[in-house]
Amino acid sequence: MKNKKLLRAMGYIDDQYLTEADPRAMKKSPKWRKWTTIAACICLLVSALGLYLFLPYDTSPPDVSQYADSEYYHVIQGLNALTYQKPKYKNNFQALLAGLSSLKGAVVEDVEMPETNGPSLGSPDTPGEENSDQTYEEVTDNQVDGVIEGDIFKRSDKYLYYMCVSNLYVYSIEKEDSELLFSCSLDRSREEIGGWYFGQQFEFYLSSDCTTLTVIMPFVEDNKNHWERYLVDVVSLDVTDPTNIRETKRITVTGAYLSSRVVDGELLLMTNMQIRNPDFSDESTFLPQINMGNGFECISADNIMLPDTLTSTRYTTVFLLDETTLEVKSDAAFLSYSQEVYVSRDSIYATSQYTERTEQAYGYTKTDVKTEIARLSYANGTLTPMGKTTVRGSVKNQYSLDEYHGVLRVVTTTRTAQFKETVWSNGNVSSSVITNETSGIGTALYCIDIDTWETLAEVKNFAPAGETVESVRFDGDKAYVCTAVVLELSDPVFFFDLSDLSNITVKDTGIIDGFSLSLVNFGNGYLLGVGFNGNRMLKIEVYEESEAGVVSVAAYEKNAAFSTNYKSYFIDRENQLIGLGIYDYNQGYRYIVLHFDGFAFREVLNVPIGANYLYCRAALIDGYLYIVGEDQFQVVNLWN
Amino acid sequence: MEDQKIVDLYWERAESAIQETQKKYGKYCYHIAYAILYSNEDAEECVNDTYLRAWNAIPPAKPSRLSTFLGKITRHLALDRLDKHHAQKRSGPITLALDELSECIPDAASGLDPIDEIALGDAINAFLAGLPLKTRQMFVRRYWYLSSIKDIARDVDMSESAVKVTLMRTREAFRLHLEKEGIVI
Repeated sequence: MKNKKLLRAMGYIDDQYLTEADPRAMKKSPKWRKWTTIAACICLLVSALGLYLFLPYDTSPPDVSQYADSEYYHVIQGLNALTYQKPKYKNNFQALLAGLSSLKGAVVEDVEMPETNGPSLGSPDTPGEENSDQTYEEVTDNQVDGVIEGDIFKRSDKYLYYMCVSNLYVYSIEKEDSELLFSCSLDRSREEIGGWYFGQQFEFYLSSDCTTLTVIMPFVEDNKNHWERYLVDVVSLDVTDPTNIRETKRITVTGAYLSSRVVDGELLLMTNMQIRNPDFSDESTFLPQINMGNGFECISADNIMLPDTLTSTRYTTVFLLDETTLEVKSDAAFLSYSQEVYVSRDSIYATSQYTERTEQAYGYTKTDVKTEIARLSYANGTLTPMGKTTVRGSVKNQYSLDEYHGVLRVVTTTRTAQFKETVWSNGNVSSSVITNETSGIGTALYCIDIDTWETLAEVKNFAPAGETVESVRFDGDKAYVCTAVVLELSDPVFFFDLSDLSNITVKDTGIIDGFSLSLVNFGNGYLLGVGFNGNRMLKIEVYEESEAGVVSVAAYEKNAAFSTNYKSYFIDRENQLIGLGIYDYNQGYRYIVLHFDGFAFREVLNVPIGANYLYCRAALIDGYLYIVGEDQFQVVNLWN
Repeated sequence: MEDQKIVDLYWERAESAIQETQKKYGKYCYHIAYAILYSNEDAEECVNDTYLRAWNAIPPAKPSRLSTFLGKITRHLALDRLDKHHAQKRSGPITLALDELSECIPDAASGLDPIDEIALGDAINAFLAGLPLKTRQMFVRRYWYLSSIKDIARDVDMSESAVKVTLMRTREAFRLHLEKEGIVI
């Protein structure tokens, strides 16, 4: 029924899109063209079949010895064996018999880009007129002090920088006199980039001297030479004069955007690159590349690391760049796939989840979900692999990992199942699972030495069977974990004391309605949780640790939908405020701010905002709350 | 007759409003209903129900785009009717579209967040906003109007395989978008 729900949700598509796609309005091409095309295709097909129908397929991997002189020969050899797929049939005749429907073409047609709007960026050779005298103020609530995360909202003490689906806005910070100083679209035409941008994935950084915005712009290239190629543009914008923003540098790296961070003026950029049908005479089809403005160049062969046993045809690539000049300081690529990324002050931890299958007696198979965690040091401007470890279970997100005093702490949801597969005479395979879903799901907390990979401590199944980890937050030698039976909408929150790894203690709240999707230290010894109540609506809750256990101090609930992206929340620990955009089912899109007075939540702001809550951000400056959302901007004196 | 005049007829409670609606949008609504129900009889009943719903909704409603206003009612009624008839009657284009859409649903095992239809609709619109026009038209034709690949290919002047590839790529981008937004259905 999930896809049906998706289909039904399509009913909320804007009228504008329905009108433009109205079948009656869309242009129809002349019939003769269709028949001419079909006739031409048939002729081509018949000719091709006539020529190749009975030629036997070659079943050995292609010979790649011609590339023996290439510095990438070890990569070519590895990928050649791994990407080669033996033909299913002996020849085309067999394939034809197996079904003409399998003869599918993959033709890539040009698609049009939407028109960009607003003013464009200034010319690179137009110098800025003002020198920056701004002070940088970080608004991303970072996981690790000093490791800055990208977002769609950054600020100095003078200006707010905001981006929504490739549109950049700059607002002045002048209380009621605040205004929009500049806006433009960073989108580019299909002709320029050979594809189209994923506007919703854009995020950016503001340099500590407030002179440069570094924008991460993922896109997909859909030219005819590649089935598809994911890339990331990194653009440096000079914002010294916010009314005349200029692009100063643009580089492009291959791969789908994974994550990024800025640490001490260095940008860490991580991508995943899938290898499909490599053509070893064309390096762009099988090697990670970077274009610094003079065409694409491959990562040096010395920086491509292959495991002893090659199992993945995907690279995780890491680029260490100067945040403002985008000069490459170091790069590395690993033939592995990464899902979640956690970055500490000097290491990157990339996770990769897989399912381990173990054959057992009587034809039974046991599966166990595992997560491989690879560590890469980026200290001193160089990227160095530091080994990897494997833990049972899957991690929820980056907050499930934390490095503290040489110890990596990880919280996972473990999942095991046991089943038997039966192959029937008609070739169909059916599975009978003998482990029910609840008993196969557990929880685990691991403390691992990051140098020796020795497991120093482990807490297994701290939550009842069947509960999954929904949110985690480490804070020094404490860990807070919310687990839940998602379908039943109930959650305990666990407080771990990790100060003595030989004696880890844990307290919990007992069963509470709903569950938290984000947990964060709220100051004054309180823990803040944002998530769902028992009706799957917004619930914000404050917890406190006591001698006896953990208690819920206050909760706020609203019949509303909200963003689950932690970065979209405005959190002020000093004043114990939390703000977020919501869709109130009675009042529409709103921005609300709650004040926690030690006993209860009080709404101090509830204003309409014509913007999707996913794109709402806010900052509190001198008592004024500056709220942005899509093209909306509001300034509210919060204490009036 | 112009949409505004038809809406005026509804406001005047003139029965000719229904006749004019039928004349101008009967086929359009039928097309939407048939794509979901795959039955002449059911589609016609659904279209008749649409007129009744429109009669009851206008006034107070004053739709600026009568076509999409009627189209949404028809689609909603058709999906309701499909629910009532349950699985034994589910066949035709909707089955294929449902199968294709299932690719876009992020893996629930990754522990993302359940979400309601309206929020999902917002996410869909946010996604559509970022698509190139032609790609967006194809996506909406396929999953809102439930048009066949063949019809879409004809109307956008592309080969069927190119439409399939574009739709497949868009579904992948849509899946990534839902995943990125932390959406699980």
